[in-house]
Amino acid sequence: MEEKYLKSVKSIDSIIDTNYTILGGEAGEARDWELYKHLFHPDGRLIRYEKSLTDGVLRPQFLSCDEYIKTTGEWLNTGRKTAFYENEVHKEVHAFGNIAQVFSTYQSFNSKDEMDNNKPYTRGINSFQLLYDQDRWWILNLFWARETEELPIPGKFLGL
Amino acid sequence: MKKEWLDKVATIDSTIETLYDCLAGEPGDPRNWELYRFLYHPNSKMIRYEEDFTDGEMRPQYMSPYDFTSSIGKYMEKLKKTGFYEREIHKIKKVFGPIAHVWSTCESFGSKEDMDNNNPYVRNVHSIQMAYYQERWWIINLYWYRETEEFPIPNEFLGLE
Repeated sequence: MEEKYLKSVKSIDSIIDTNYTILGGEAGEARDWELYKHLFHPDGRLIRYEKSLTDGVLRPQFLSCDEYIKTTGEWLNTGRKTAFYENEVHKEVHAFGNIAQVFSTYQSFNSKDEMDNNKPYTRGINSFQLLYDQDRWWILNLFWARETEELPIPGKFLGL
Repeated sequence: MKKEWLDKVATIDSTIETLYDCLAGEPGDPRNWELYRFLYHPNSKMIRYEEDFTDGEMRPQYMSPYDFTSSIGKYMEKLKKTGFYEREIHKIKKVFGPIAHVWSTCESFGSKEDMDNNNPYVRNVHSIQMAYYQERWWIINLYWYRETEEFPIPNEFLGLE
């Protein structure tokens, strides 16, 4: 297995960092979805608590990693007009034995420049459930909500 | 829908309290599995990282709440020779608007007497993802790990630090 695959899942920090860096890229730039899929357990899921793409209603939506790649992933690859970059502002980790949960605050940017100048167009929180099994970490569930005007991220989750 | 059921999912604390309460009982006591399943989102999963029943290998095992209540639940209700009681020792809550996750440490007892004497036979940590949706809380994923000799539960998760 390639070194980048092993490196990406050797620690809680590396699996979460890789989750963010893989999504990053310029408009039209193909992302490494094989590596992305490698982070997730075969039964792992992405649960977006956002407005549904079909009817605009806010509700939790459950996706397999393949479903995510085919929809949001494909859109990032080819549909999105601007670049997309994400970074992590803050994280809170609870780990015991082989299991962990992480509350990770992310920021999204339309260009590398905006990321360098810390000007996100949106922020949110990712709740990760992680497992250490077979000498590596796996993402079991990635569940997130986005910041809104009515719902600003509390200072404690921004490391303030 | 029963009004009392909605009260049980009104807060994160009440939902988790009900989660533990539903499992409790003496051997042969019927449990309220309808209420238990009501706590969970229809797409939710219960994930136990323990030895597999079939081959003894450690691996994450995914169940729906219905799978759980009709297998382990039935066993607790009909076959288990002792009672079963669970008590939460400590809880860490992280909440952002309609999403939350909880790190809940609990201990299990074979009888009410053992619980009164503080004599658990096992302890677990539960990681519980929750969503607030349609004016109530739902369990989105319940994921747990049992304490072992190799991995004793750290004091910070027992409320001792």
